Amino acid sequence: MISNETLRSYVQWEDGLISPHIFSSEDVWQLEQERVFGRSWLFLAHDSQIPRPGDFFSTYMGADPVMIVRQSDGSVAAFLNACRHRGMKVCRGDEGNSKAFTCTYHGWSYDTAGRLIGMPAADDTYGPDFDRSRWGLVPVNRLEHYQGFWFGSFDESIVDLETSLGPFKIHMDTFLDSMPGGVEFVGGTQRAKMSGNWKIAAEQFAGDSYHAFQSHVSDFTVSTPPELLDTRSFQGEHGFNGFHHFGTVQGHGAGFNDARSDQRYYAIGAGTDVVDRWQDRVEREVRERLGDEAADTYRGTILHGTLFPNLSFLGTPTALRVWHPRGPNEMEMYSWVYVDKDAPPEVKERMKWVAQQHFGPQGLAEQDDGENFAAIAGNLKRRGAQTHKIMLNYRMGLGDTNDTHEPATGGRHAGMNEMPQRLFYRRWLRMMTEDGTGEAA
Amino acid sequence: MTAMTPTTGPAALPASLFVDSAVRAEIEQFLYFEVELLDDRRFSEWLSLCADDIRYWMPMRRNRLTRDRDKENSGPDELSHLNETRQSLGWRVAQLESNMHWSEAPPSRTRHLVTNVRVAATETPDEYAVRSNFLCYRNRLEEDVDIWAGERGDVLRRVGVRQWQVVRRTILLDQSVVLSPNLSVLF
Ligand code: FES
Ligand SMILES: [Fe+2]
Repeated sequence: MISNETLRSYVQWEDGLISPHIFSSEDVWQLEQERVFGRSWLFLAHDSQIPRPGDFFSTYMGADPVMIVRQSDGSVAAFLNACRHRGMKVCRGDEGNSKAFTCTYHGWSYDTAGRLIGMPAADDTYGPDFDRSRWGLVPVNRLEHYQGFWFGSFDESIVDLETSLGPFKIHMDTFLDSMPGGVEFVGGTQRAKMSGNWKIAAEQFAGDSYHAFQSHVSDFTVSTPPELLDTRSFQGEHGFNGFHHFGTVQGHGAGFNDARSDQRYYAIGAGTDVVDRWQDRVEREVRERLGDEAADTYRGTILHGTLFPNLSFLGTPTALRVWHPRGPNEMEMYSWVYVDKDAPPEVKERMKWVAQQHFGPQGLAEQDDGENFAAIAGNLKRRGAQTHKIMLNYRMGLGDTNDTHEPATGGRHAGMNEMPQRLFYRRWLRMMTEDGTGEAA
Repeated sequence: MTAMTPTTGPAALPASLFVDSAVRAEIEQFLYFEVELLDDRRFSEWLSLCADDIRYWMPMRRNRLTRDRDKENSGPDELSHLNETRQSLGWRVAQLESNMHWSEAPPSRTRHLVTNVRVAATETPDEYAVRSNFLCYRNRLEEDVDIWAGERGDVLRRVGVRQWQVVRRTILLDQSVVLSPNLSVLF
């Protein structure tokens, strides 16, 4: 097994140096399953995806298949999607509604609470003394929700969800609780499996506004009316200084625009005016309900963020994604679009359309992210000795204590800065090398 | 081998498939020409074959349990992979031609195969409902390979002598999880 000393040599976050081994090593990936994914709060589903009793949604926690199911009393339960007999999936639908889950191998069946309720010819095979109560589906030990978002953890002793959000809570509130009705998901989950380590995607959403100018230049150029290009494509009067970055010791991070600037909307192109007008209204609502601090970093200004370890979001366009690990060099994206429940139908439709134009495997922007993630994995897959000796440069803004940003504890930083990425790997290293969840500063 | 007694005989082909063979030939040539433009990277010319009122839609495919099998494809209120207008197709074409669209620069080598063309008349005299199967092979950079198979349901409109445009296109990609780093090709 990989030693703590080796892991520390791979992640020298204080100096902004990261080894490619953490993206390509099979050992690191395997340990990560237990130590990071086994001990984090992981996003499972939103309330609006499973409204009625029996509604289920299939997803993953790390590499483990799970399903989350609405119970008849309105509560929610989640289990490993693995039969206790030989281990195959008992639910082979991606989503839907069911009263029970019957395994197609030998027919063991489980109710929506995960209890083993049926076995073909049970008395003739296992005898009358068989104790079914011991052989239900393996439950996800802890389940909590925040603003309709259900998170699960296999770690019984994990701190409560709200504590684990830390100072990031204000960002969660400003994009999920902007309007009194909260948000709902547009139906459907867009899934894409691609080359690349999940951390490359998660860290990018945590703190990397920097890549947009190069990676997404073709999106800005083609989809933005020329008269808006200056103010809407990050090339306005504020330049890079219009950006702020926010990072926390929990490893969460976000990048956003100065709310006072006119650069706030990345959602560009035709039909965006409908969304813009709505976001203006949302901003007024946030200022009234949640106060000025929230309004200054409200959803319309947030470009990107990651809730450690693998839930990423965009404030505008309004999209969310989870990066499921599928091996050191492979990940699967689950992507959703969220809209304000209180928004009129035509606004919801435009929010959906604008989000889909830019994000998802077909998105004018995200197509090129997929290319970059795959290209990084492409270089590492060959396992070159020299390539793996590179210590990657995560040093942007190192030593800079501008704004409220402290190198070790995070905070807010004006301008471009890789502080959120350094804090993401700080948390990751703590979880990989220490007992517990690495929450403490 | 056991003797089989056919109880129903072969299914009758729908009468709607028997359009004039000259029309069918013209439509087949149009479909081949269209993908030739894509594979030759003549994207702007391809765009000129899309009607101003085109709807270009690729729903998602999902694994559903038996009772809601009819929801295998995502509906109009749900997310889709593509939901394009002529304007947004124009953005995609401009992006492909920008030389700064890194998932297609350096350009991919694509080969679109179009088969199983079925043509049916519609109530509008110059519009035909056309279904075809496709296989698109993409090879890029050194060894990156993607293969997409699926079906397209089109409405094609005759707009002049040997001139056609795509008015509707629904693309059913035969994947529930997109198995490529992106969908940067047109179908
Ligand atoms: S594997 Fe599920 S019943 Fe045997
Ligand atoms: Fe990006």
